[in-house]
Amino acid sequence: MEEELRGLFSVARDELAGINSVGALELFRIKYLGRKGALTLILRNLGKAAPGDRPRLGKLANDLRHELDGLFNAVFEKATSKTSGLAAEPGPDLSLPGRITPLGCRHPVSQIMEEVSSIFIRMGFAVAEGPDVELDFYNFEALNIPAHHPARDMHDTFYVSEGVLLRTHTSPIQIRAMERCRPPLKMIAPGKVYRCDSDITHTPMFHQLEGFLVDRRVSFADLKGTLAIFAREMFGTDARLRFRPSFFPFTEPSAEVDVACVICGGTGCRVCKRSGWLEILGAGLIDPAVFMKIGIDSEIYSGFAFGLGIERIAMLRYGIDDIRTFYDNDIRFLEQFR
Amino acid sequence: MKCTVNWIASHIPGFATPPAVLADQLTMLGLEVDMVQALDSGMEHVVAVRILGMEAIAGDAGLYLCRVDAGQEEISVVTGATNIREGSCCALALPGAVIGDNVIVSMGVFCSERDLGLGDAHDGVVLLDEETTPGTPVADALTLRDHVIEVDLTPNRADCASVVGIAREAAAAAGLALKAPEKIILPADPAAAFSVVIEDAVDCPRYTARLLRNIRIGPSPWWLRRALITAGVRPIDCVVDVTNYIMLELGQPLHAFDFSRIQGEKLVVRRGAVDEKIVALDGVSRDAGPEVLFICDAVRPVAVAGVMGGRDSGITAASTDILLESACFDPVIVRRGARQLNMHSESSYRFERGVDPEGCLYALDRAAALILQLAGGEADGGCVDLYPGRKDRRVISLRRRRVCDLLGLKMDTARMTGLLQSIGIEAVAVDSEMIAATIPGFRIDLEREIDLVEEIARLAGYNEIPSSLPAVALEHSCISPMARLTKQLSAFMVGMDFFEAVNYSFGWEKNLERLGLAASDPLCCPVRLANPLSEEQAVLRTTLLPGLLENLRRNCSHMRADVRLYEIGKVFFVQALDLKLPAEPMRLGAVLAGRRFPDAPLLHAGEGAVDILDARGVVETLLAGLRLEDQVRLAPPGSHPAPYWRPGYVLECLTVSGEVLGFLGALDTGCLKEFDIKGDVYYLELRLDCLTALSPRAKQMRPLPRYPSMRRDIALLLPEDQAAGAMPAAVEAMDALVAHCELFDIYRGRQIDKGMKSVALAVTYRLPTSTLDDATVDRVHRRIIEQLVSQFNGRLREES
Repeated sequence: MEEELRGLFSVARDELAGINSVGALELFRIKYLGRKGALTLILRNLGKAAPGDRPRLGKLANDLRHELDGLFNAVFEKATSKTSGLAAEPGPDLSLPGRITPLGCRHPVSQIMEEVSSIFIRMGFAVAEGPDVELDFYNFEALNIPAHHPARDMHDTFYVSEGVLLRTHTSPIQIRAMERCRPPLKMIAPGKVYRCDSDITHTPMFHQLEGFLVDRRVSFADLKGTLAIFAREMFGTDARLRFRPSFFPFTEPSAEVDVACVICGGTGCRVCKRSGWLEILGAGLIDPAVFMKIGIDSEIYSGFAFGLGIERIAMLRYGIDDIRTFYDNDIRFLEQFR
Repeated sequence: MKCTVNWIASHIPGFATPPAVLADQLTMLGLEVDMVQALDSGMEHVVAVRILGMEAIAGDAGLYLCRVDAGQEEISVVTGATNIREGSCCALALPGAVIGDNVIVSMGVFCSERDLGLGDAHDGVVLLDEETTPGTPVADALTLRDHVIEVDLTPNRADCASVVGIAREAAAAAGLALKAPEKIILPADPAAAFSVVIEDAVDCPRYTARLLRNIRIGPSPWWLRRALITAGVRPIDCVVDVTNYIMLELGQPLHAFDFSRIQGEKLVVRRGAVDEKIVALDGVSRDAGPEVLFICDAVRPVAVAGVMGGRDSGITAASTDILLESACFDPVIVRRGARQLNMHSESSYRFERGVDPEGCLYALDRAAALILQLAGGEADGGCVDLYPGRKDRRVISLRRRRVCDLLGLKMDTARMTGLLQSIGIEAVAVDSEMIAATIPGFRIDLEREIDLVEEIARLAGYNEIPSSLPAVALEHSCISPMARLTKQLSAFMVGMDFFEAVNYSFGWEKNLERLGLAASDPLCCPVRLANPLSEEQAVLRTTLLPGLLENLRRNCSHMRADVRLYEIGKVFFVQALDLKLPAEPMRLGAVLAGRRFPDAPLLHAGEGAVDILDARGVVETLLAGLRLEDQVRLAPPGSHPAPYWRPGYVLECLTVSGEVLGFLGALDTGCLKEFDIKGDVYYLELRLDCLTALSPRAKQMRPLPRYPSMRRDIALLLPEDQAAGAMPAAVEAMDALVAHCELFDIYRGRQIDKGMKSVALAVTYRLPTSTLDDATVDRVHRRIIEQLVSQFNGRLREES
């Protein structure tokens, strides 16, 4: 009897699905659901079932009848409603844009700063900070750049007053950190720096990230290995670095570090001025004179330091050719970095 | 430093390194090569010609028609040049030659030095040796089969501001020996016809000078002019040219005085007196003073030591007796002098970096011999050589272990001494661990062991040093609360469709005035720069507002008036006098203008413009995101707000302890007009140091409600001026049964009396321990309505 019930239900359901006129619906109602309809008849015959099965079968028959009733009503309502008739109701227009919650974005300089910082933070470097308005001592003297040293020509300095200036690099943070904490030290120091210079490749304010590591037996080889990791993370696994001797008063040996041109891959192009290399950072072993200024014994400790220009990397990465664009804060520019 | 490759090669017997390779080798030695260029580039179609005949062109004053022998053929050339005659040999650009940006299409054009890319001279055509065979390519006739190389010197490499210095490095790279220019010995009769006094041996460690008599000053031969031109130095006359040539060759600046204009046959090297003036070669009179070192004759200064000669003592075309100076001055005094007088020269460039005192006499005698050779005359017997600052050569001990430890490589002392010797350092291995290095005078930058470590690294090649990773103990490094906060805030702002702006830390003081701030306002007392680039960038900012308004104005002018910009950065305040550095607190500022959701589809978001509740929403979102919402209260300002706020449209953000965290609101229309901005603009500024001081609400799990809740709505009529914002909190405080209350509608208009508004609240009731029954809820609900009516001055509208 159960099989009979289920079979009947499924036949009726299929039939209902094929109906396309109101008249046929009425006939369907009479055939299955009416007082003499098929389901009603089965229910009446419930008495013939085994007494133990009766409650279960009764419930089943009732449920099925109820369900069929529901299906019938839905079809009937649709068929008799004025607008749709029996034709399928059109679905939503899925081609329309979603109801988005728009997102803004960080400034491209912040994005690169964040990216560079996170590489070093993952290597275990802590983040140090320092003032933008700095004492001559930290910006120059302690970094082995005495007054009247030609190296000061490399820094066009904004002065606030005698001995007070806008920091020209993030290196003074190195000194402040070493004054505060004893080695081992591994820190990065991101920040704004200032030089009185303004043209297509210079703005009077720009961003640098300084990094330094001081411990026993830190070597130039360690500097190379650390920066190699940075280059791989920043410029891709096949990034090649080149170290060239250079001069900074606060490091010795000093190096300029070039990465194989990210545009041409090293074959030479306009961006790398046909050299195949792009200068991305300055680095070196911390000069013993710097250690002496802050009372760290350079016979026991050694360390390396490096500094890189964030705008420079952002310009290379995003193909920006005028550094001043960064500080216009034109949304048509900013929204490209979403 | 600029010179030709052949000049370098002339000091290295056997040198055959191609120019491009040399450039790369020098760069990798730390002498960064900026440029290598073939001198004969673009001279393919320029040949030597001899003028066979000239005739003036009738009617065209100053123009001549020349018949020239170009080797293969005779050509007619029109020229306006006046420095040629029959028999002259000149450079002729034939059709197809490229002069500057122009391709020659006529029969031919005579070339000036500038046309050939050899310098600035353009006042006559280049004259070649009259023996030149016509038709010879001009590149051969002028010995231009050569390359010019330009090195960007770091300040420490004074020795390489010379051809010999660069040759020394090039020789080391090529594994060859340097052959320094010949030492010339001229007679040195102690009885000189003049005397020299050095007042301070520190200012002037050495002064050498020689008198040359009966000189005939004239132009220099081509080889000398060529050397100067390719080095970027303008040829003048044979005496000046020789001094410049020797300076380029050896790095020793020289100066030639006209002896007849030196009074008292005497030179004194001394500091300037207060208010003492000098008229330099450029004709400008300058005030000096005791910071400047002078060369003086018996009565007046005749030169600024190491910087520039005086106008009234220099040589002229008529000079016959010249006093040639080759000296060494203290780098600091030269630098100060050059700075103070704002005179910078090739000479001061070298002295500031340091000149080898050992080389003075050598350079002097080489120059004297060359002048005699080119200009005739004879050396007066006397030569002065005062050397009060003589020092022994420095000897530095170098530990092999130290080199290996610092560089992270393995190397023995034999290799190290070999490397040092290759650049002229007398290095001797004392034993297998120690090297004694005697430093030659020209390497004044080598003072310490570490300097030699760098030399070894440089000469071995940085790329030969292996790569390793530092073995540093694991350690916990914390992020500062401020760094964490700014990162969080940025993420929230970006999530609310704001773009981050970064503005200069400096700005225009006048902007503070435009904000309407009184001169006594703390914001109007900025840190001032002593040497700003412009008035617009002369003070450090005390508020982020002007920068953001400038950004807004700029965007509006680009038809982008829907703006949501934020900036997180420092502002600067002068501190008490005993603190030299200003305070640099962090701020967050944001501007909102135009459409509410500029980047959402118009279809959904519509054109709705932002209003003050958007600005309030931003602050509330930030506070909620930081879990600080119950620690900060937004209320109308207690005291008079800043004048740039629109009255009645401003809220103060107060912490529980009563500190002002910031403000939000609409900007005053008059103030916006000052900044050329139309339309409504909302602004908020928060003090981040104040935020870090607050402790966020702890994350603590509360059991989830197990029993169903019931909702009852209330609609109350309130007078328009009755603030409704506090109603939900008030309801929640009225009875323990209230789980939550929310204001869900404010209605004005039909069926509502004028001057009134209908405020609809949804109250959710729940008990944590059991299911509520209608009767209980109804009773509480009635009581709540009664209390609301009295507390908020309302009237019941309907109940549902």
